[in-house]
Amino acid sequence: MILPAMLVLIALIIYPLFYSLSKSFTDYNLGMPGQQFIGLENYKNALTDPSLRNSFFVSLKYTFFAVTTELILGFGAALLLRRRFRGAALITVLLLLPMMVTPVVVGIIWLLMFQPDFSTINGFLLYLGIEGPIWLQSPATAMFAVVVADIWQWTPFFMIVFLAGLLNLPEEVLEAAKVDGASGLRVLWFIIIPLMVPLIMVTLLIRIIDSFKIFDPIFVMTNGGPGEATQVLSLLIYRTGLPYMSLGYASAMSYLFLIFLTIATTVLINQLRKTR
Amino acid sequence: MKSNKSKRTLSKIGFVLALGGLLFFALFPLFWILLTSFKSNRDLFAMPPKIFFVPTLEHWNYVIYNSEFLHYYRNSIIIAISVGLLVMVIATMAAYSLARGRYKARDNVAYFILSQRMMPAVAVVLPIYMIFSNLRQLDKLTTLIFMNLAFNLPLSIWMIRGFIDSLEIELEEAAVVDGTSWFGAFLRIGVPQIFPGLLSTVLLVFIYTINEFFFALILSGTQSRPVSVAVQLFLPTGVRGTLFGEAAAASLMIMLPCLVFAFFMQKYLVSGLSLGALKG
Repeated sequence: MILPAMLVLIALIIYPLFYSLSKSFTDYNLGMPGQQFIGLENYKNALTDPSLRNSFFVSLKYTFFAVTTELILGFGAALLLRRRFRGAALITVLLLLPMMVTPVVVGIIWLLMFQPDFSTINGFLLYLGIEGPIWLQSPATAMFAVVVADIWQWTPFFMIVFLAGLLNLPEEVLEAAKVDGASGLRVLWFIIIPLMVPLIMVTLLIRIIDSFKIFDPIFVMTNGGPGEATQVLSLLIYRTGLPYMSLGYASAMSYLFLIFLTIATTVLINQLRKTR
Repeated sequence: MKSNKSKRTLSKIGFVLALGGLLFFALFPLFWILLTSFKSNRDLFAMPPKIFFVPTLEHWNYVIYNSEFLHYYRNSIIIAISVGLLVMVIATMAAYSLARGRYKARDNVAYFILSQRMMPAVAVVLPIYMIFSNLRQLDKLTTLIFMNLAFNLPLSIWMIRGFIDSLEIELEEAAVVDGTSWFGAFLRIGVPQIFPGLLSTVLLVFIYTINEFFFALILSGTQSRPVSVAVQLFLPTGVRGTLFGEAAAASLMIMLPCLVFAFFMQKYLVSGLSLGALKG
């Protein structure tokens, strides 16, 4: 019964990974004939490669700013939706919509907002008498732009998971706290948040891993630029491997990336096993 | 007494403002891309931006009649439907085995499968590119179907396994006593009960497959290109300038089936999304 699924995963994920492991010890390049075994050379180069180091920190910064904001906004939105007011169901679905949007289209939408010649955002800032910056042309504002796009798409994910968690909280405990005269903020801080910690941890880890792998919207919005300011890890590895054709070297970099994510995933799965 | 009342009004205003702000942030970009798709190029580049303008269908016409877009659209639909059907069969079988099987490695197999969800696509796509180009299988619909299948299986298996776990096994046992096989009993009695769950899983897979970009970018060409890759080809500045209006119209055409599905299937989708999140 489980055989077809295992065959698919082994043929299309596990086998290719072994294939690229073997290539990562060679100087395989699409542009040049032949390939030679060069041992750990690629790995040595990768570990001292300033581009790889830069991309690691770009990914780290991107993940940190995006995921932190999403966590806070998503939790706030879930708290608002927890009051079962009229129209809450409809508003929940409307707030979920960005999550359904094709990531490439997310890139297009926010390119429209931030792009140089007729940035929508700068247009509306003009009404307020403010001249906006050329967003995608300097490192800090370009980073800001791609992070905003991520926040737009993924805040709903935190929101919906936290909403499900909040609605499952034991009602008696909350009532008891209220009877004891605890203020709303104290209930939130001392009762709700501690109860939600396992759920928050799991959701955070999923989002951290996923946003480390981000590719599509950044490819569309900045293509890594200006310079390498928004060149996240996936983008660097993709670019080294295909347009620049150094498949051996790119394989080595992708293995370092894989090891890093495997550690994160192991932490996640241990967390899941604990909460189940 | 009075201050208490005004305090409550104040918190109500805060509540409405916060919710309104969130709604505006979520919906304005979607509204704006809708407007963009109906703006003439003159209005598109107007500064400050126009909210009122004479709408035009030129971008929609171009996307539908003058470009290859419909061909790419058909590719996407073929890929997404095939992946949906394959996932339904293969993931249900695997989930059944994980939920009901009596073998020792069961838990480890389950977590191995789940760990595949975290796999970075870029680590897999480079060797896949090398392997499939040796086999001369680049730019084929089947290649994209297989890759999407592999990347959608883990989450689907976990979701369906959750549904099977929630079934009451006694009903099936009764059928087995009457001489049906275990799997036959599951198909006849269990599957109809979890059908809404299966449907929401397939729906999510359908949406993820339509949305998939990375594999398509690298493994497809003019023959098998899906819409997700086609849409960003309007962006690079070409002879006719940057085709933002066309990109906007094409974006809406991609989003349409997903948003419509999401809207009508919200009940299943919300449980599917949050469950999928909790379980991996």
